[in-house]
Formats: sequence, C-alpha cells, structure tokens
Amino acid sequence: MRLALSCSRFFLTLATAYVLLTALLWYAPGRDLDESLWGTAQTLANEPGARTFSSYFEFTRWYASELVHGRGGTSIQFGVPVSELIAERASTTLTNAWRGFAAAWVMALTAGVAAHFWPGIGRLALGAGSVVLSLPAAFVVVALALNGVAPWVGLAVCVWPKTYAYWQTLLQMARKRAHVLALLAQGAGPWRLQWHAIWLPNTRQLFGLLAVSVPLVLGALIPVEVLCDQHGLGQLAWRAVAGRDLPLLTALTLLFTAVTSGMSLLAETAGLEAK
Amino acid sequence: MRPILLLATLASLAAAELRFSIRSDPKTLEPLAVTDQNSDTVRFLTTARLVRRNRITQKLEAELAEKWEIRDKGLTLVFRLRPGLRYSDGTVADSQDVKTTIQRLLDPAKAYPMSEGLRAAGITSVETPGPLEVRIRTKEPIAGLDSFFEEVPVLSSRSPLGDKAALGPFVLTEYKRGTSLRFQKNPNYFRKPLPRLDAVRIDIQANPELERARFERGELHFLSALDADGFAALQKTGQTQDAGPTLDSEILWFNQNPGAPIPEHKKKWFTSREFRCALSAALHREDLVRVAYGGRAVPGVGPVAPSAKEWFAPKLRAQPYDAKQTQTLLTRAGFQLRNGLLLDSSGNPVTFSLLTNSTSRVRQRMAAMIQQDLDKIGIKIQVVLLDMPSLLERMTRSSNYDAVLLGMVGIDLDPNDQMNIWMSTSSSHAWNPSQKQPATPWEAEIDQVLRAQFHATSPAKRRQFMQRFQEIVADQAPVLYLVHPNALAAVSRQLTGVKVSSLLPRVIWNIEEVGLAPAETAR
Amino acid sequence: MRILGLLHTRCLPFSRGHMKNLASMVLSGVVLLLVAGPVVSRHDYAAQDRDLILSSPGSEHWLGTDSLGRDNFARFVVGGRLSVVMAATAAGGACAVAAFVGTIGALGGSAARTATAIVFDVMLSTPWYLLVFVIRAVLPLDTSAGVTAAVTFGILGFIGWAHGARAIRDAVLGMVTGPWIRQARATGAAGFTLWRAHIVPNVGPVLVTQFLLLLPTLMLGEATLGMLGLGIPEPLPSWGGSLVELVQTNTVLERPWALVPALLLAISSISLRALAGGESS
Repeated sequence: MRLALSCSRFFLTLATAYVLLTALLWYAPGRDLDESLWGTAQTLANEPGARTFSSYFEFTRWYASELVHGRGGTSIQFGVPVSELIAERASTTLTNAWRGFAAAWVMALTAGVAAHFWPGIGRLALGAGSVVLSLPAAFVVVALALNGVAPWVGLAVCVWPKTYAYWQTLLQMARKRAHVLALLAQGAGPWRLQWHAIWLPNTRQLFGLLAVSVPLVLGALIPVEVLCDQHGLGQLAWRAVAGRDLPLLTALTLLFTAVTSGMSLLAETAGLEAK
Repeated sequence: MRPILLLATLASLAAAELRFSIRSDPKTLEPLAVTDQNSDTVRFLTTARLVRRNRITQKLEAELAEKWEIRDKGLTLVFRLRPGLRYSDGTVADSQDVKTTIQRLLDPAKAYPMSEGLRAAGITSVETPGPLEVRIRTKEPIAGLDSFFEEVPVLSSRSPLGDKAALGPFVLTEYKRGTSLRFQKNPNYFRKPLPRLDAVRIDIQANPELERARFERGELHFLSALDADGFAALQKTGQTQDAGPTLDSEILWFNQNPGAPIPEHKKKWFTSREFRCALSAALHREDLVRVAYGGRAVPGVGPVAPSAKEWFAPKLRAQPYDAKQTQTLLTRAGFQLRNGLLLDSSGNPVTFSLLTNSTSRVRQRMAAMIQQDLDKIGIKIQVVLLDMPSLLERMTRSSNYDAVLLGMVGIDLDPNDQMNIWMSTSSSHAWNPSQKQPATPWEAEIDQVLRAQFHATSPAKRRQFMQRFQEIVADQAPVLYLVHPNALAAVSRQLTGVKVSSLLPRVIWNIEEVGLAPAETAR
Repeated sequence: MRILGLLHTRCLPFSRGHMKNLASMVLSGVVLLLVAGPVVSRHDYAAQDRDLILSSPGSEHWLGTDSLGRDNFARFVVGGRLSVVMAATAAGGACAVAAFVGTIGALGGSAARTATAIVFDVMLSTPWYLLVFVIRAVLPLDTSAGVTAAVTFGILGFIGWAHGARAIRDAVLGMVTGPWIRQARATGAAGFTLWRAHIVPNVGPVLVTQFLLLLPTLMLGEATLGMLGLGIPEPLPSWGGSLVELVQTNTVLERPWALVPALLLAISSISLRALAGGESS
C-alpha cells in the first residue's frame, strides 16, 4: 500500500514537472529559431530528423507516444535522438557528480571524526565551511577552475560544508541519547563510542543523508557545468533552454525530477523527514 | 640532452597535434550546408576549393586550380586543375567532381546557403572538355564569379565515402558532440610537402575565460576570437597578435517596419533621416573604441569596412561626435528640448529601448555608453538584455522592438557578401525585412546599385557602384555603424608559420604551412 | 538546499551568544554603510568618466573606477542597497508563501500533504533557470532596469520558497503532534485560540530563521544569475554583478579593491546565517 502510494506520488511529481516546464517553454519566445542563422541568407532550417509542432497539445501527444515507445524524441538543435545525447553526456555528469559527492563525504566524515578528538579542527572546518557557503557556488567553482582545478573538486568544496553540518547535527543528537550517556558513564573509549553509539544506530540516517546529498549535487550541476564547460547533462539542459529545444529539455527535466523525487522518497523512507 | 627529455621531444615530434577551440558545436558537417563559422572551420580543414583568398594580400590564389581565366568578355570562366589530385581515400579528383558539385548547388530542389548566389549568377552550363578543365558559362557577365568559387568546396562524385572523402589537408576522424573534434593529416593532400602538423584537435569551449586559462597553461595553441579584455590579460605573455580591423562591425538600427506593433510616433522618429543622423552624430565612437575595446578597434564607417581595401570608399569617414549637427538636425525635424527631455513635434518625450544579447560583455558596455551619450541630448533609453532566441523572435517574427545593438560578421571580402543584408527583399534586411516593393526611394536605389555591381564587367565599374552604395548608406544612416573591431589573437610560441589575418579563418587559413615546435625548445 | 535548515545548529567556531552579537554588529555596520554611503559619496553610480577607466583608489574615487570609468564606491553602495532591499522583500514574500503552503501541508490531511510534497519535489528538482530566461524575455521592453531587477529577485524568491515551506511544514507537523499541543487540546484550547496561543508563536522563530537563511541565498542566487548573464541589467549596479568582473583572471591580483563587494557579500551572508543559528536556538 505504502509502496503504491509512493509510486503514484512519484509519477504525479513527474507529470507536474513535465506539464509546467513544457508549457513554459512552449509559450516562451524564440521557439524554432536558430541563432546561428542570423545574418545569413537562410531563414529557418531545422535539423533533419527533428520535427516541429503546430500546437502544444500536438506536442504533448507526440511526446507521450514517444515515451510509450521508449524513446525521448529527437533534439531540435542537434538533430539526433535525445536518448543518444543523454547517453553521450551522462558519463561526464556521473563522473563529476560521483567524484564530487564522494570527495565531499570523505571530507565531511574525516572532519567529523577529527573534530571528535580535536575540537579545534571542528571549529576550523565550520569556519571554512561557512565561508564557502557565503559565496555563490558558481563563483567558487569557476575561481577554482580558472586555476586548473578539476570541476569535481569544486563541486566537492561546495557540497561538503552542508554534508558536514548535517553530520554534526546527527552526532550531537546521538550524544544526547541515553545509551551514549550510559556508555560515557561507563568510561567507554572514543573509538568505541564512535562506533557503537554513533555509527551503528545512525546507519539509516546516514543512508538518508546519502539520498539527500544527490539532489544537492544535481542542483549545483547546471551552473558548474555551464561555467566550467563540462560537457554533461547540466550543460545540455542549459543549452536546451537557450536553444528552446523542447524534446531535449523535456527528457532532461523528467530525468532530473525522477532522480530528485526518487531520492527524496528514499530519504523519507529512511526516516529523515521525521527529524 | 638527457634521455628523458629526448624521449619527450621525440614523442611530441611524433605526434604534432595542433589544439585549439571553438565556442560551440559546428551546426553541420555537410560541406555544402555550412552557414556558421564553426562549421566553416571544419570545412576549411577537410575540403579544398578551386581558388583560395590569401588572407594577407587579400588576393585570390590558385588552390585546386593551377590557373584560371575569364574569357568572352566575362561570360566564361575557365579553371585548369592541378594534375594528380586525389581524395583521402585514394579516389581521383577531376573536373567531373567540380561539375557535379556545382550542379548540386544549382539543384532547384535543394536550398544550400550558397545556391542563391550561384543561381543569381545565371550559370547556363558547366562543361568539362577534359579531366583537368572546367568551363563555366553565364548568361550575363559576372565580375566576381571567380571569388564565388573561393567558398565552394570540391566534393567527390565517385568516392564510396561521398562528401566525407577529404581533399583538404586533414581528415575528420572523430567527433564527440559538444566535446571535441579530431583530425588526422590527409596523406593524399595535393600540396607537397604535406602539412607539418600530424593532427588537429578542436575542443568545444564555450567559456572564454576558461579558454584563456587553458591557453596560458599550454593546453590550447592559439585563440582566434579574443575580446579586448582577454587580449589585455594575455598581452604580458608576449603571445598576442593584433591583425588590425576586421570586416565585422557593431551596429545599431531602428525598427522601420511599418507593420511593427510599436506606437506610431516612434515609427515616425525611426523613419526620419534627420532623427537617425542626429543620433549618429550624438555618439562618441572614439570613446566606444577606447573604452569598450581598449583601443583595439576603429570607429565604424559603413557596411564596407576600411580594411576591405579594394571596395572601401576612401572619401568616407566615420561620423564624428558633432553636437551642433545633432542640434540642427533635430530642430529641423521638429524636436525640441524641454526640461532636459527631448520632445517630438507632437510633444511625445523621446524614449526608446535598445535590445542587445545578454552574453556579450563588450556590447553591454557599449549599450551603457550609448545610454549616457543619448541622455546628454535628452533621450532616455532602456537597455534590455535578452538571450539570442528571444532577441531573434522580436527581430524576425513579432517585429516588436525599438532599436537593436548587434554585431555583423563580414565573411567574405567580395561586395556580394553585402547583398543578403541590403537587398530590400531579403529576410535579413534587418530594419524592415522582406519588402515586396522597396519602402523608400533610397532603398530602391541601393537595390539597383547592388544589382548593377553584381553584373558589372570590370572591377573598376564594381568599385564605382560600391562607392555609391556606401554613400547612400552614410547619407541615410538606416544602420549606425559604431565600430569595426580588430582581429585579436593569441598564438603560442610553439607554433611556426602562423600569419594572423583580419579575415576569417584568422589563424588557420594557411594551416598547411603551420608547424608545431616541441614545448621544450619553444621556451 | 534541503538541508540548509539544519545548518543553524552550529554555524561558526564561537559560542552562540558571542556569535550572535558579533553578527548583529557586523550587519548594523553594513546597513549603516549602505544608508550613509550615497550621502557621503560625491559621485553618481551611473556617471561615466571615460578618461579615467579602471583607476586605482584615491581621494577622488575611494574604491577606484570600473571599466566604464564609473565610481566603484557609489556603485558598490547603491548595488548593496539594491541587493539587500530586493532580496529582503523577495525573502519576505517567499516566507509568507512558505508559511501558507507549509501550514496547509501540515494541517490539511493526507491529500494536502501529498499535494504539497509533490509541489516541493517539483520546485526543488526542475531547472528553474528557464523561468528567468522566459520571464525576462516576455517583459515589455520599456520595463525599467529597476523593475527588471525586482522581477529577477521575485523569480528567485519564487524558486526559493519551497525550501522554507518544507521546514515550516515539518515544524508545524512536529508541533501539532507534539506534547504541549496535545496538552493544550486536553485543557480545552481549540480552533483560533489554539492557533493564536500555541502554534503561531512557535512557528514565528522558524519563519524568522527561514527568512534569515533565504536572504543570503537570494543575494547569492542573483550573483549566480549574473555569472550566467541573467543578472541585474545595466546601468544598475549589484553585488552579484561585481563578482562577474572578478572571475576574469588577473583582476584580483591587479585590482584587489575589486574584491570589496565580494568580501562584504560573504561577511553579510555569514552574519545572517549566524543570526539564523542564534534565532533557532
């Protein structure tokens, strides 16, 4: 029952996002116009293989049939199937996101554990984190990229303070629990405390945090990929918007929304929302 | 030399790969369908033409054609091909390929960008008396017919690879959409010795700042589209080159479309010659050059940039700032200044919006400067930044705008390059596109003069017509020419044989002469 | 960001009370500077001195001039006013919406809860930069730069409300099911009284926290848009706009004073977050 409810909510989310964004893009100025043709003798020539639509309704019907057949339509700008474009670009995004994400976690957890033993490190980490959070993420990443730092490092730098802060909250909550206090009273060593009192009872929350971090990374992806010239899905989405590429943007939106709302459902299941 | 260094040197010698970048994907890889600069760059590397313009002397030179001549008082153009031409896959290239390429362009069922011009030339027949000779006959004499063929790539009619069989110095071997293009040297390239570069890699790099950072780190070998800021930032590296003013121009025009959904009184201003000329004289073009371009540009004169030495009307000068002239013209057209606001004869305050694209920082600076200049004569303007599709929607479809600030790219030196903008019937006739009948007597005269130069028999005659054309534009100012930017490039010390030109493609036009020294020796 | 709301638990390496005092002092200083700046500055933010571009700080131009010869100090102060006032307005509006939707989500039964959850998911997962593109494109052309700026912040506020709404929903939900509301119900409080006496006063601090968190987020959001070419239009200055110039290589080394807006943006942002942290405790 609960699963069915979650699934229906998931699909409702997808449908809402789809309708909102495609309608917006449909009524946006500049549809079917190609900027590179300005000043040339040609008027508008779409890429072969792409098709245009006379009404929003017609587009929606066509797109639904494409989805039923397991395709995503053909990109107007690139003239190739959307699925092909996404497959081409996904690896860049996945690599960046995965590395950034992993690095952020390693940084956050290391700082977390270190702070347990040396509180000074915790303060330092918090200070550094709040400075990073107080600058636009895009600015931090670009400033790093201009100095030859890989974008995933920038992504990690931008994401870790939030992960760290969250981790700290978990730890503090754990410290107040009765069994931890009991352990402390028994004079348990720091390692035992860490493992038994904090890690083990919090695995579910950690899992939830994992789920929550994914949308966090996804959210930072568009500006990071656009400004750092990373040829991934975020940049593709930006180009889809700039070129009013309806089929492409629709597919990407559905993908992003699916990932985010899927993760948010996961996080809820992990009990993170109850916090 | 230590062995490791030697090895490194050998490795880099073994694969002399030239790396540079373009801002976005080529729109097409089909050589005949090219409309944009990026596709043109790819076409330039992979195809060869009958003739090629030397980007330094601005003269046509032999490429696939050993020689060419114009006979029968301009009615016949004869090309004599080099012997032994072969495509990258080994198939023979001969006059038959030239003929089929031209026929493909003339095919009424196809609308290639070059077709319109070729059809207008009225080609009646293409004959191939032998494998090395092509004769092209036209109905009427066409003076610039040979320069048409500077754009036309010769494509194979027999190769199983079709258009992918390369006759140019390089062969496209890999294309990762949105990421990079890779090319290998064409072993059958007709110029001997073969190009010194073994391979070319073009990265797609949209962000100019990152592009510059990569150049500084040695990851890219040259930058051919630097703006003034980028040029200034790289100047201390000693690797920048200013090749002088380009054919490009930054322009401002007013909406003169009678059907535009803007107030009638605005249309009245915009169609008034006095109004346009008065505003033109109110702008400080030297300031635009100095401040927005860091001095790396020249004040805008007209549709033919002064750098197009052969066609520029030498008597013309850029409109200087002239407060008195502005005043006289505005008064004559019934405008008057009241409480610091300029009012037209019916008492409407003169305010309008100026559209420009949101991605160009230099243009935004210019817009802010124009805003201040016009504020001094009592005109308040709103600068509106839009992304390109929204801008085009307003320019080409709804016609719902007052004035636009944009750039114009001069592709070709030949005056025929002007026709798609200036003929009143053209859809790119920006201020009032696709007219059935010329809306004004001066537009009718421009149509007539441009047609006349197209069919003129001698270069001298064409020059005369082109001068008249430039005079009309200067007199009527339908488009305010603001600046002609310089061609700014940065070229790595590793590269040899580069001759940066103000004409496109600026750096790779003589790529077969370009060499790449190993990084160690270049330092 | 979803877990922003959790950040306030520990924000800076000092004790909470000190932190809050320090933050208030810094913010008062910033506000004072922004209020008094235009009075003491002798220059118009839009006036171009084309013979004096990119000049260094001096007695005439305290922070030097920009690439069009405009006084950096005047631009910095006016830009700061604009960023702060507009971001505050937008954040206020967003918080109001968030309070409304969040409360509905918490109290409106399971259907309303699912509906709001869907709305949150959509809001938090779609590339809303598109909205900025589209709305900027359909604005009438004679829209003044000020209105365009206001609309840009409005959109940012619209994008930002969902973050707050989620936190508020959770807070209200926690309260409604919490012990003291149960106790209040048991003692006979219901309807309006229950609301006025028990829920509103307790949601208040959550709202203030959300506002204090949203304010810097919006200011930073404007800067990000500026870097993507969709920021506050010329000739209006903004703090975000001044960051764009910074990104160019060499700027920081050659003209370190160009860093001032970025520094102030960061300091204000840190202080606001610190205040938010204090508020929630």
